[in-house]
Amino acid sequence: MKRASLTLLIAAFVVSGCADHNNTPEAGQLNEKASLPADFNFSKMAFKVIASTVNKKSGTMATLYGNDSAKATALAGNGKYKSTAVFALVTWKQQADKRWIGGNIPGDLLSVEMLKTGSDKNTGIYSRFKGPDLKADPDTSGQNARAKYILSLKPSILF
Amino acid sequence: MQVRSKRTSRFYFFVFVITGALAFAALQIKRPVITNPPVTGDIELPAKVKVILRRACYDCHSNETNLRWYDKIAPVSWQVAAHIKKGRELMNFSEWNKLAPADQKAKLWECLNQINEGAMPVKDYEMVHPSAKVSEQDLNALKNYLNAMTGNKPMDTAKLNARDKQYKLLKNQAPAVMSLPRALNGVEFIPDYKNWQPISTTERFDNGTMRVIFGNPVAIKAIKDHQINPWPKGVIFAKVAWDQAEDDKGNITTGAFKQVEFMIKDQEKFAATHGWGFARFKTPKLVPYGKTVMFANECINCHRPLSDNDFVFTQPIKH
Repeated sequence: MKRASLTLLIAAFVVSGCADHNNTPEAGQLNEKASLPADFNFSKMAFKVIASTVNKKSGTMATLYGNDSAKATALAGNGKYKSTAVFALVTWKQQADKRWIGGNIPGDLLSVEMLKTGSDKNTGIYSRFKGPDLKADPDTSGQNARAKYILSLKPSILF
Repeated sequence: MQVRSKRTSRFYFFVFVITGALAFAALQIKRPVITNPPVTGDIELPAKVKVILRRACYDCHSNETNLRWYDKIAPVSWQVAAHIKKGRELMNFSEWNKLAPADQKAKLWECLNQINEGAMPVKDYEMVHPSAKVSEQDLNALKNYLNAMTGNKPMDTAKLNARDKQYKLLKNQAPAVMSLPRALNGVEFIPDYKNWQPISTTERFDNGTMRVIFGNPVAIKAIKDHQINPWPKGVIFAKVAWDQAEDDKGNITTGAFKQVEFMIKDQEKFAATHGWGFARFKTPKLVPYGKTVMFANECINCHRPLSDNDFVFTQPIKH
């Protein structure tokens, strides 16, 4: 009994000693819940970052991506998009950054909105994918408003 | 024979004790001198927050070090002196007015996070000085105090103007061939980061910024292969920070570009900073941060609590 408790005591000491240097939350892990499903093939579209936004009321954050044409025209800021411009707006629920008090990072993946601009109109072909599996959203209401919103986003300034 | 051997060993034991005692006494002759320089600009805080810092931090991070008798005995005193010297260099609450207001705030948030991650107070110090321990309640008091100081002003015209000025600069920027800015540790600015894939974004309400973290192709492959602790050689991260520009509906977009920071993994080249080469380039002029090559110590000290995660804060998102 005595021996067992001594072993336990030593074990506890060793464990607590280690704990001091092994306390990063989710060390070595990816942010899985914010990640896009592999079969969506997002990375193959080779998009670049155009803008980044936060909505405090809904507690969400979003990143606007696009192809080179989309990025170039967004930067030009004249509202004239080439027909080849493709945008993708990825939205996440925010979560507190466990590794830095004072930060919020992407949490659950909420949606990906894709927009291909038309040549002569302000809006183009819009589609929305929702949830962690990014299932195509059958609800087509409010698409014009969303397309307009995406086109209204100012690009983030990079030097 | 046996008696003699017992005597010999007793003699040796005696010599050992005497030598040890003499050596110990000799050690005490040249004690490190720990003085308390004058307090030139003590940090101003609400009493209930200050009392926590006084108890937990002031022995090493102020000019009001309170040495106990056991701190003054060599060889412990040497370690104590080294702790205090380093502690005061990194942050000194007695010379707080030497920091710009924004840096003061950033330091306090770093304090909160260092304590929260268990990196501070230093464990061997805390073991000998149990009163320095920061309780959950103490931590919350500090957190609440700092949280109360955050918050954006919606439709902040100064911020919006700063952003618009940069848009103009961006449009008029001639594609001039210029030499790339270089940090004092040799890390050169990498203009191509803009074409890398993002691995995460952060809303930093502690300092009113937004961030996007980009990874070079080596980093993206490492994420795909889940080889991220440790990260392989050749990985580069670029973290861009902007002001937050907030409208009256709680929508935040990126405002003026503040800086871009790089972390380059090379175990041999950057052995002194745990295998990472750090650099920060500020403002549209991309001015390298740091007055001396020692600036990278500041970087690694803040990243140190994440030593079990290869010193990386960002939790990557797979795209």
